[in-house]
Amino acid sequence: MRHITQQQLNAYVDGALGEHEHREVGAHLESCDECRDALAELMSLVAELGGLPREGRPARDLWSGIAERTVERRLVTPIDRGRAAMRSAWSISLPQAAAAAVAAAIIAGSGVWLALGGGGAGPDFSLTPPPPATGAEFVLAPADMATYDDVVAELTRQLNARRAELDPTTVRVIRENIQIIDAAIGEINEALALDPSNEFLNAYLARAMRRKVAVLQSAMKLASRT
Amino acid sequence: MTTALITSLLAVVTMVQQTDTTFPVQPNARLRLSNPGGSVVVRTWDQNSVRIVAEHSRRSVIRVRNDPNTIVIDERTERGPGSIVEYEITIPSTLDLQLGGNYSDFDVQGVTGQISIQSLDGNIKVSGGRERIKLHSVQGAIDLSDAQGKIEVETVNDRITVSRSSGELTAETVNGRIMLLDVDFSNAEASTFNGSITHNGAIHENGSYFFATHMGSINFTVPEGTNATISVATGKGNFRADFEVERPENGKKRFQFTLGSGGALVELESFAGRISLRRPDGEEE
Repeated sequence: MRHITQQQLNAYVDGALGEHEHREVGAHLESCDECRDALAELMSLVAELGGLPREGRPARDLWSGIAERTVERRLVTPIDRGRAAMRSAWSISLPQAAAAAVAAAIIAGSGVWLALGGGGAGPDFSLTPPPPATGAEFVLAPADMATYDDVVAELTRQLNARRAELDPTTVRVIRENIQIIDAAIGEINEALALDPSNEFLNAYLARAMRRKVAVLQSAMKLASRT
Repeated sequence: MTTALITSLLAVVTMVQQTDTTFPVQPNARLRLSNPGGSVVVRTWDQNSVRIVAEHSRRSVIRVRNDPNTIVIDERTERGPGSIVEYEITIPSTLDLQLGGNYSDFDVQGVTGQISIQSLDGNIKVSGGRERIKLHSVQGAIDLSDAQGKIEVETVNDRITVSRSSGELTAETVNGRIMLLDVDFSNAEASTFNGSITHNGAIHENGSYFFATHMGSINFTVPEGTNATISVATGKGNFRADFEVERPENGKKRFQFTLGSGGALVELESFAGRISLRRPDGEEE
């Protein structure tokens, strides 16, 4: 095999080669110092781009307002008590989950979001807002929803400006997994349309949103780590 | 002692250079390693020293900074960071580990200190770890065994397996199954969207267990003599148990029942999959 082309190298890093070609390129890399160096340089570039400083964050501290307005209406059962106790030790509480999704988006404020949402032909990666308040375990006030929309719009702007700087493999995997979460959110919303006061579905939706944000945060943190 | 020991080991004239160095360390020190690409294997021995064997490009240098409390290992090329390095590192078992990489697989055995590993695209396999064990990947499987303490495992596009471990657990993935086998957690929380969740282990009297999946099944083994309040919730899925369970007559998809004194709190949620409660000798589907 001749030296690997830049196009092949990019596709190799992207995981976009066919199985046969992927094996061929891998075998060549084992034996060719020059191509290994080229791969290393490409990965170095990817790593450095992942570590670029963050651009401006939203000017307003949107999270504090949401946190103050988030209303908790929980039915206290033994299970709830246990869950609340555990959540307090481990992570955010359930009523905060949807609001935390917004907060996390603000904190995230960097490339991955935009890269995922940009590109025109790709799927829509904007966060799915929670349903209108149903009187179930928690609600977000209308003002919070407006803030949420603002945050999503701001993040979309920032991310679109930086989408070309990100590791394409990470973007692809995250995009696919966000699609999985979005599909789940879609199903939950369909179920909620039939049973809007269902506590399980409302809580479940909030967790799905939180997870979506966490996935993006996690990928971005790892991408910028080195 | 504040003086840093800087070891720079330069290349010999081979296509792939091997660096092999051993140096003394404090047994309670922390080892930090950043490896943008390549594998990292960590083993332990009964010596208060660290041995690093690294295969890397002849154009690169392995750098080791050995302060009294922290050992920092990385690699630099003439063009900056980011080459491929295959590490085999031997350490005292009591060291704390903080490892990271972008395209890196990690394999760690026998460490009794704290462990933190982050990989963007790579598998993480750990046997051991105490107090705090934190394993994060995006595109890699995570296998953890024989760990004790507060455990946090997270990936996105792969599976998670935790076995023979105790303490408290959070485990999250999106596209992969979660297997918790022969475990002994006082608190455990696991969630995935596209995958099953299996829990086979002890249920503590005052423990809390929360497992949720969107499209997968949940297989939860109930040991003999368990005292637990169990909450089951599903959207389109169904429920089965190897033993008699009082269920609502109206066929509601969310219900709660008590076993024994009901001490532990168990919540099982699957939107579209089956939730199964099993006896310890029950066959898994």
